[in-house]
Amino acid sequence: MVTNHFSSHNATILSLLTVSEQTEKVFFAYAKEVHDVAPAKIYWYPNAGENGNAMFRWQDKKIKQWMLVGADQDIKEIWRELMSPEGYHASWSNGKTLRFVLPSVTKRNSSNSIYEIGNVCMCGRNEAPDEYQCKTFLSDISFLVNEETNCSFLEGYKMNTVVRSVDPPGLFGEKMLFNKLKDKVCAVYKSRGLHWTLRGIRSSNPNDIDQLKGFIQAGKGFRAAHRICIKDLEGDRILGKSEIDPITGEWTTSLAEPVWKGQFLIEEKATKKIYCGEKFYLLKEITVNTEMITTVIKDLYGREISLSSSPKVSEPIKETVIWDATAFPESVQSEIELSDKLKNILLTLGDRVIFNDPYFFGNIEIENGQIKLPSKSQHIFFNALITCIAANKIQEISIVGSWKKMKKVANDKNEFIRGYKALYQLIQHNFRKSEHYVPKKFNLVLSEQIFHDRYWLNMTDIMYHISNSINGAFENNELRVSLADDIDKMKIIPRISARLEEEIIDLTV
Amino acid sequence: MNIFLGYMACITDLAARKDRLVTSLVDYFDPNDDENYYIMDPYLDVIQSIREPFRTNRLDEKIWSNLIGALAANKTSFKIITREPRGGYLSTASLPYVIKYPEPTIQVSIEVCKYTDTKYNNLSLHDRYILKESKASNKGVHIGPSLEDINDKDVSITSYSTATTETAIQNFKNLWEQCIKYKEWRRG
Repeated sequence: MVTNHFSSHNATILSLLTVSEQTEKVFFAYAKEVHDVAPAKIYWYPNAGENGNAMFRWQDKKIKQWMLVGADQDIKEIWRELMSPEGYHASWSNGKTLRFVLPSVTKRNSSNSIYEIGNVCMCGRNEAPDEYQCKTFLSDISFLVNEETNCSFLEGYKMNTVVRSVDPPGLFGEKMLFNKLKDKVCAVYKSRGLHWTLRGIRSSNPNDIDQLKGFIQAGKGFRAAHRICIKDLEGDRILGKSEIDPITGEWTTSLAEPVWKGQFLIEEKATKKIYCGEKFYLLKEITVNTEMITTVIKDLYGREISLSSSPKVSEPIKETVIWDATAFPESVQSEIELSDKLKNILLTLGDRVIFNDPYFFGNIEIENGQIKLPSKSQHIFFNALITCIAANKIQEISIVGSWKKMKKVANDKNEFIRGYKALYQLIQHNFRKSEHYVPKKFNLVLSEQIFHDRYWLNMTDIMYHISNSINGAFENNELRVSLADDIDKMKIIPRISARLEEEIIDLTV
Repeated sequence: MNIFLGYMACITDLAARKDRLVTSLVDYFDPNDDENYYIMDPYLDVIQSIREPFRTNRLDEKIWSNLIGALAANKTSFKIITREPRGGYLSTASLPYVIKYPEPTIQVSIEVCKYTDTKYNNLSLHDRYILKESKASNKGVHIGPSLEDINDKDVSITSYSTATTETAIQNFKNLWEQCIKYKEWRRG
């Protein structure tokens, strides 16, 4: 790490997200050295620690944010205490005291950055912060781990009436909390580093960069004692060197050959040792996706879904997808989350999708010429299915169920089939302006086999095990979806294939 | 109901063997709401064959979880007497052992009593049978091998007469009562 060459009164901010119980159980600590002068003593932000009080950001889940700023050394001391088993004991002039505890953590090895140069210290602009991973959190925050929307409410990039975002706005980058908690990173320390900038100057040939210009923020003495050195990306050749203006901090260097990427190094004049360095990459071409959006449909929740001309098939979802109704601040939000998770799974299956569920999609009734879906789960599922058809242009859907089980629920076989034909007509109606999106095949298989387990698959390489029936996932308050392994596929796909040999009812007729 | 599934039947598709047996049993018992089943199988390991498939929501993996899932309706109860597993899990101090049914939309009770041979009137378990008691009618079948062990055997399933079913149900209830009430068993 590059040592600080600035005033000892530089400031560091520290944000602690906690579950507020008898102690404040920290699940995310974020410290950042900033380019600012520190106050004379530690300052707690209003409603985030002032006088020992912090408001709830998410009351139901007892989440609070504590935010303070102080001199680098003071915050470093607090950080050290936080990392210790005893935790950090905070006290205020009004006599209030609180204990903040962080789970036991280990420092994460930083992955190789594209900016790092071998054994050279990074200058700080692109340096990865120190990250600390915990084995377990001290409180249940399952409603945040792997939950992008809930994290976004706290980050402030999505609005919610129940969840208040952290202060100040933009403290966390978008998806930062989501990405960190997903990896069980519960503490991040971002050092200031050396602030430097660089840009390319084109010569008479607009495609060539033959000069680089930049700025170093440092004291006069530092600027006088160091120079800039530019090398090619591999570090084999020196392409340019430049003095740093001690007054302004600016520098300009001509290059021996045009470059779009290379190594930026700060060299000590006296010893020729490299003080710090990073790789740089200049923007050369920007391509724009000019795909035309043909039309738009609205989903159940009023969101506009664009129909794109090229199908979007996603990579199979490798980690188990878990949905828990209690993890969301509102019921509608939990519905949307469930629908989106189901849609994301469907998007990985391509243009031929088979649903193996003993209860099919549940009973579909027709009343006064309208489709009536008895359960909210069905509404949520069909929302996902329709939006997936819009994105993926599903060509074929097969619904395989156990008639032996379903007949105890459905009143009459013919009525049951009629309901599913009406479902196909509903899909046709949804895509009436873009008929080529309507699946060409929509089959119902009333298997005589008795089976219980649910699978969604594409009969080639992807199969998911689904914990609940389509018509009951929401009412059961939880759903678990996992990618089947090769052994499962080997055992189960032949069973499903055998069912597909039974009587198939073509619902498009 | 009388079926004989020879060992060569569906030999290349063992899952189909299981399907045939389960389908036959379900067709015979014709499950409805509010019925009681009494299952005697000395070799039924309820942990491997029922609890684990229920816990992971993979009822089709084992024949017993598949069968119980197919027979289960609202307010169905299952009482199972077995000698298995030999060690652990089913402590005699906490009888009956209860297995949670994975579908919360219906009320299903599954209780297990683990019997140690000769502990009650010198009785050793041997036969396998499934009995159903309901308001409509009582039914029972005798099963040759244990259902988990049908791959390399002939399997015969024969139904009981009404009188035999009544006797078997009474017998089962007596043994069950002894198992639950006295826990450490009494000799008669």
